[in-house]
Amino acid sequence: MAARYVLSIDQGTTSTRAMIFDQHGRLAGMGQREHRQIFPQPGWVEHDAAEIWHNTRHVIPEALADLGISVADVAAVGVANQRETFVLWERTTGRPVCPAIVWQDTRTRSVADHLLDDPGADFFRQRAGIPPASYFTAVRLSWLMDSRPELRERAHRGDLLLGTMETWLIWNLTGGPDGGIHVTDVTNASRTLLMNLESLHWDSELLEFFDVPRAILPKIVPSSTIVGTATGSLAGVPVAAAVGDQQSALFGQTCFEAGEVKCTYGTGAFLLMNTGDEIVTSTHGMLPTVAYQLADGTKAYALEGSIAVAGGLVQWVRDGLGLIRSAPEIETLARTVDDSGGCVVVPAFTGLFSPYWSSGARGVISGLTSFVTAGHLARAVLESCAWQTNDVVEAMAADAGVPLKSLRADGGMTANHLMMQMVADVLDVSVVRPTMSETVSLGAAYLAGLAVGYWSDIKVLRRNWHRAGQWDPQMSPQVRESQRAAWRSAVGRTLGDGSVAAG
Amino acid sequence: MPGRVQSVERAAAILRLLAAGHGRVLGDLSGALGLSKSTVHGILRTLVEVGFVEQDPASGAYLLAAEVLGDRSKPMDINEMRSRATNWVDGLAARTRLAARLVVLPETEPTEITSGLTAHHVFSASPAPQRVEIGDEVDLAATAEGKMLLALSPIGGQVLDSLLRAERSAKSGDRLRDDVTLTRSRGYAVDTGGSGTDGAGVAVPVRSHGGTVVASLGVRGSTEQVLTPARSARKDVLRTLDEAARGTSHALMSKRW
Repeated sequence: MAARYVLSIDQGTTSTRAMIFDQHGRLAGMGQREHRQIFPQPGWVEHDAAEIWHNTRHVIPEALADLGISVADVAAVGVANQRETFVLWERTTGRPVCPAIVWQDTRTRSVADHLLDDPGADFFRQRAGIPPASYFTAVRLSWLMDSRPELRERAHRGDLLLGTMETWLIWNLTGGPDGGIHVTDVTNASRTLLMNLESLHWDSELLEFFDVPRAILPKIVPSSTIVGTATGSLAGVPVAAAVGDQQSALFGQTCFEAGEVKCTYGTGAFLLMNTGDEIVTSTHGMLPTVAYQLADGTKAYALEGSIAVAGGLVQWVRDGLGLIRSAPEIETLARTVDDSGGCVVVPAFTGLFSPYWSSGARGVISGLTSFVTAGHLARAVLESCAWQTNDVVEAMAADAGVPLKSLRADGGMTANHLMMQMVADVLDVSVVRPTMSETVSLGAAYLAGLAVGYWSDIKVLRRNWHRAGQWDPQMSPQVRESQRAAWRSAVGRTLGDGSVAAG
Repeated sequence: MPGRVQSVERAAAILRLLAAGHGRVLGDLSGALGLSKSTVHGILRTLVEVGFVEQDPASGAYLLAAEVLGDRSKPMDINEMRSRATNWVDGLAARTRLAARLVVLPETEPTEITSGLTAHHVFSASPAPQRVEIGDEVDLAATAEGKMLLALSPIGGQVLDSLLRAERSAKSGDRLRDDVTLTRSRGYAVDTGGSGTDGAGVAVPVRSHGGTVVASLGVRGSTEQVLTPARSARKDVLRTLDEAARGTSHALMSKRW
């Protein structure tokens, strides 16, 4: 009998999950386990790669048992992962020789700032498409090998292997020291600052610049292709996809056409726009990246914009201010009033990301009067998520030269009905939400299923996308423009540029 | 007739002790009642699970929960309910390809309630234009979700009586009473459209701690999609609906994240 399901592993920042999907892209079973967040010093964030592999080995049988199926029912396995986090391990034993240094880790912030001056952002942009920043792998890898020279020496000797998390898991899934396959996919490689964005190969000049020996590098493969066969609890199942989490969500939302955009609302928010087979270079603070590459070589690029604080602002209202007991109650509080009473919140807690990229920006609450109540503040908090989305969307549209037609939203915050309406109102386009909100896991499942022929082509996947809700714009242009002016003025204050708008 | 239930008596004694003080630790309670720590711990664990008692994470002391201290226990916030239920209601719509709706009674005096409130709504798979109905009022007498709440919600009987008092036609009043009785006996509710609603609907109860019905979960589509020719719920639809309602119940009862 033909295998009936595809299994997807989502190796995320806080947990590792195994999810099983059926032919209709519906979630059928899952297992989940959290791992420790290790903070050795302020600004340092580490994971234990061995713990993550241990958890992965547990959640797979958990998901199979949840659904009550055997490994013979699984047609393929795909991996989606937190991006840019990396680990080095011994080729012969599989033992990690360093902690996994996480994308959130800012220990190399000053190194990255220095690289902006010398050799300058363009040196990196022309090759990798992205500027140097502490969360791209190469900057932290180079710091690690500088601070522990024995690792650089062992790397040059060929003792060690490098991997982002999908590379680490696939190597272990396919046998580890006993014949494990050492690969990364184009989307993950595009976030290392070591891959040439046009050729999709490791870039010699960047490798030389960061002094990264080729011997430790995984082979770059398409996001959807059979790379090997799993051992252990998935013995015999083809390992058929690897993809970075945000790109996976874009694929899971079936944004296959140029111009299609998804936004995932979590603690922060990530917008990706499919730009087709062309790299769109940004002059508005967006990052060009690879969206996916299929087994036949078909590839798509994307523009990415990120918002540092979205749901995180609601958590602050709950934990920092104590105005609500649970995050969803922000909507109840916000509905006690009809508008924000002139109050604007810009949550630049650790600077502003796209499109401003100002690490020195600090948050602002503007328009405070004695009229403003907790309800007005709650409303301003939700509006800030909408206006931050709009800032990124406008910058993307300017770079891509096409206006946004609609926005596909996912993530926990899409349960907030009021905020979804605000996003539609502010963007002046429809916002739609799919019934399958686990788009990260679904994307990797789709890519794996395509590689083994479980799904015949991407047209079939489009038919699986089922609209759960749609919000159409209802705001008058006058209200939108006056809110826009207030938002711009408040953002100006966070940047400290003194541009205080009149009125 | 059975006698008094010992564990309930013991639970009451624990609650009385907690009401008197500012938090007591396990050993303290066990000493005061002359019961073993394991017995007291078992009762406390149940009281924590049903939300009557909270444990201070720092000191380990047990306290009465805010819910039992108030005049009336506060129902779950409607937006929190949607957030917790969304994966199950989404899944229900995806599996059945029907529109799905989670409906509650508004937080007011039973005699003032004239309609239900939509806590969550998910579109059907149809490409036809649809509007998000979250926050909309729901006709209690004409929809499956509404009849379910009249039949099984703790205040459903009072709401039904006040609706019947306002009902001018004795005939339609009798029909509603029969409908609610039938709903209570078979455990699910059915409507066949009318009064501004299209098609047909089926709804089942969503329960919280102790089996209390806190919401109703329903699907709606064309008559053939949800009902048999005899006008009872289709078995496959009912099975998926029951599974989603159990999952929703579980999600509503789990600890705050």
